[in-house]
Amino acid sequence: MIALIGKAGVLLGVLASLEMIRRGIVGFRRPERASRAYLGGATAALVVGAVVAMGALQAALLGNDFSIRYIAENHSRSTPFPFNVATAWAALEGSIVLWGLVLAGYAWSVVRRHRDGDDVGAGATAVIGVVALFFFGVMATVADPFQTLDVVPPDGPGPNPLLQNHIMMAIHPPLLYLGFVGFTVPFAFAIASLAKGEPGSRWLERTRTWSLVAWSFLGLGIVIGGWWSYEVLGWGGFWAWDPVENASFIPWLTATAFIHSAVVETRRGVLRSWNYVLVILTFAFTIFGTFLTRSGVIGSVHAFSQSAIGPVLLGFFAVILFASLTLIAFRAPVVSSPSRLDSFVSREGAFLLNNLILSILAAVVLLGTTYPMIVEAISGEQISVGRPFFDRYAIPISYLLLASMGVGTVAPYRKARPIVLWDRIRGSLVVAALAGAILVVTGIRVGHVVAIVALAILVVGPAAERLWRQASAFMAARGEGRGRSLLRVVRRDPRFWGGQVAHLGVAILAVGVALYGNLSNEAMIELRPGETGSVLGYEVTYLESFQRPEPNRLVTGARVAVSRDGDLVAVMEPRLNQYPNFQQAIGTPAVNISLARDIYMTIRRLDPESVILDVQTHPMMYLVWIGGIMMAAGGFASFVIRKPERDDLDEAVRDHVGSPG
Amino acid sequence: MTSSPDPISELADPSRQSRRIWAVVSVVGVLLLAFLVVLGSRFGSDPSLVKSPLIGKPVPDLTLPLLEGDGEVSLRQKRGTILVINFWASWCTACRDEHPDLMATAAAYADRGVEFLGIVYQDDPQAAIAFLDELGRGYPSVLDPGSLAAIEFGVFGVPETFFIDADGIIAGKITGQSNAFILASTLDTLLAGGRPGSQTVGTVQSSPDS
Amino acid sequence: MSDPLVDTETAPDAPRPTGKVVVILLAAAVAVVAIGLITAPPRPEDRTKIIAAQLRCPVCQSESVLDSPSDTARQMRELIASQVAEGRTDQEIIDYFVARYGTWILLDPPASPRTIPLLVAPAVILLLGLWLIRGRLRPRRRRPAVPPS
Repeated sequence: MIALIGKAGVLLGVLASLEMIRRGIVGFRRPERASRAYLGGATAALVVGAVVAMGALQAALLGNDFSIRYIAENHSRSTPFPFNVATAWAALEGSIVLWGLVLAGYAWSVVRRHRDGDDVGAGATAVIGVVALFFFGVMATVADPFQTLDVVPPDGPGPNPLLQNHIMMAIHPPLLYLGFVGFTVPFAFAIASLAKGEPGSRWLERTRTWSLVAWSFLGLGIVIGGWWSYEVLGWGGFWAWDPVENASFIPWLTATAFIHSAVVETRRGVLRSWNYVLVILTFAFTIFGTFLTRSGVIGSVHAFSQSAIGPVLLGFFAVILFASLTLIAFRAPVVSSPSRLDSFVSREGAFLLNNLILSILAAVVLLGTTYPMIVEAISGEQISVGRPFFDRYAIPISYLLLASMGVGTVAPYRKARPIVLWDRIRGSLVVAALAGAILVVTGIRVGHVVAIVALAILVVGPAAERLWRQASAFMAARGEGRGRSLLRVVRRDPRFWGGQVAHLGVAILAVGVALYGNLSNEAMIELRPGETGSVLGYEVTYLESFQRPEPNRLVTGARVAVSRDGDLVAVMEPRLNQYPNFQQAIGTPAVNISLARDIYMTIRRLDPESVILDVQTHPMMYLVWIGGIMMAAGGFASFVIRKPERDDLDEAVRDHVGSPG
Repeated sequence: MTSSPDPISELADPSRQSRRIWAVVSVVGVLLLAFLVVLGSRFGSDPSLVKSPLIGKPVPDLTLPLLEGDGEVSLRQKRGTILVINFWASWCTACRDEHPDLMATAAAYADRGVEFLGIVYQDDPQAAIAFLDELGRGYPSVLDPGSLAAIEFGVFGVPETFFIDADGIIAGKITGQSNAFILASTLDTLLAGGRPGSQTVGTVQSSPDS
Repeated sequence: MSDPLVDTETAPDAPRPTGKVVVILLAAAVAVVAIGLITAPPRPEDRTKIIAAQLRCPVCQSESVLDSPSDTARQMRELIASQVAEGRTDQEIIDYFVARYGTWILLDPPASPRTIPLLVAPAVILLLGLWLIRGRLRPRRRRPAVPPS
């Protein structure tokens, strides 16, 4: 019964997508018919179909309907909340349903903003319809989540233990999908705008919010994924250059390039066709990433099992790229930007540099991720490409990016005279150099750490200085308080300041990563019950082992007291979780977070006589998470904060500080 | 691919500009197509299977304790006989399936100078003994303390089966679940003086849940 | 779109103290950093970890021998440590593993005819990017005969 309802939802989704395509094309050709009501009808049906499909899946999970194959394979009666809900996207078929639901939501947000007579908007609806048709078509055929079983098992194995081991895994996929799927909207408008031969940058302006939403969610999803990795996988790291991680990182890189080059186009009218290329690549890479994750062509800790969906996704990726490329080639004369840059030493020059760097990194990551497959297909030889290769490029590129961020954000448009640049960054340069000197004097004599901290200050400093000075100008002009003036400055240009919040996040993240990579420590220690040992400057006492059954697993662990100089720091409980139907226990680290450092403890071996503990310390690990979250927050802030309609203070400010940016 | 160029010509001549754009698009398109064909050719292959570079190399000099009873087995001492080494574990489903065929082949080739030896891979000895109690023995198994033998043989998972010729050279390898036919044909090649090389017949399990 | 807020070339934002103080301060701080870093005692390097980080764990998906918590990786780390203790060089230890697992086990593929494209591609992409940017910069003019290096 539930399966039937679910299938009906999927079918409705297929039909609704077809109707969206038809009506979209009609409206695209004849603007007078491109009304919101006309397009909205089909889109509403898509939303209903997606909600019914997801609702049926949830009902089947919560109602333990093991007659559905997906439920029988991925759910168990003992799976607790919220993991039973999250099981809906813990495996391939369900994750496509979530994809469809998110896509329907974005489609609806597009139609809601649609104005009657907007032919490009209608065309975009048709493109979204094509994408929706693909995903609902997949649900109806090669990845049917509502396939039923003839023999109904009484219970199932439950989701993969790694996926029900931490709350982060329940929210990580939806965030990632909100990011991935969101790029459908700017892509759709880009295609419609190209097809129409629309001059100007209107499509960029109108899809700006969606691009930022998608970018922010994608970044957030990646950071939460790293956090999950750190809290669950037990190796003490958050990024492994694993193919599946790379698959989400590549579109993030191209999207980051896109939201920057979009600024250049809207401000200066250059890079028009480059923006089309970037948004098409970003969308195509979201599909490619899904292909890498789900086709079984690569081995990865995060990969879903092999399935027939691989060729279908690869085919869709090919169609997107070939169709878009051809379209760009046809429209090249229309979309080529007439204007040129005046000087490389300018704000747009910095944006260009940023685009170059991000594109190179994206290309390197793509190449490194796929190269082993290419070599093996051609020669049969098996090679690996891992962290040493990626780090070799990512580290210098990160340095370059940070450096260009600090100078770039305060460089004037058109042309920046060196004296102006020097004037705007010299204060931050001094602070950065002093901070480096302080670090060295206090004993942190590690080149990478000193350099990254200094660069981080250089990223944040010039913008902070500008904020302060503009606020001072307001205070002088209006006699308002400092807080009010700061707020006023930010509200006057939320795009810029939202971007600066994101940059602050990047700076914090960079410092966190540098600390993690250079000042972490690790040691192993074997202890008998009651024994105390010394490791990494802590006294560690193995109090006892414990065992407690939980509904969905048997938890075995060691209770360990950690103290420093006689003062108790924490009692930690690294665990081994044994899930029924899975033979191997899943080690779960215990993490003690403090202002100075994380203490990270995993059980490497536990038997009645002793425990072998792997103890790591990671200084200020929270910087990585805070930085990542702040990046996303900056993205959101830059469109959530609304600019006041009119600002009578422009003139007053200009008198004091010249023109702000 | 991110290097897809901004297809804009600096040339004013529209026909030359258009030709140049199409040239760029074609080049990108062809590269893309090649890339897709390569990726497409990977479907159905298992990314976790890796070829062994050990074929033609001498057998590692290892002495391993017997799983049951006291005593040790030295791999080098086995020279003069053909040795079939099977890495297995009780948690490995393919090992369970291939075990009867291994026993039968061992019995069939016993009088032709072929010896079989099991090496228990990352398993509890009691579980391994229980496995043999259930499925039968036919030939001895040894333990692999510290997984040193597994590393020496470049093992990725179980089951993996190695064939050592009479000179102590690793002459063949079967990755994944073997069967009586493959075992027999490999041994026949070896007995006839040939080098069977490596064959992949299935996937291996690197841990109880993979 | 013309935005009154677009920041174009202006005079220095405000009259400020002479640059001399800034330059001296900067030079002093940079000198402290440079001296501090150059004279820093060499950090004790753990060869076992350095080698383990370059090897791919054979029973995992894409983790290194250093990162993987698996039994096999632990055994391999112990093996590396004992070979280090025996006085073998890094290359000898790495070769030991390559002889058993093939070049697959190296996370950083060594230069070979098959990996040349991978190793030169980033540089090619960089040059291509610079060439494209150059096209964006110049006012309309004839295409340069040779791409700049």
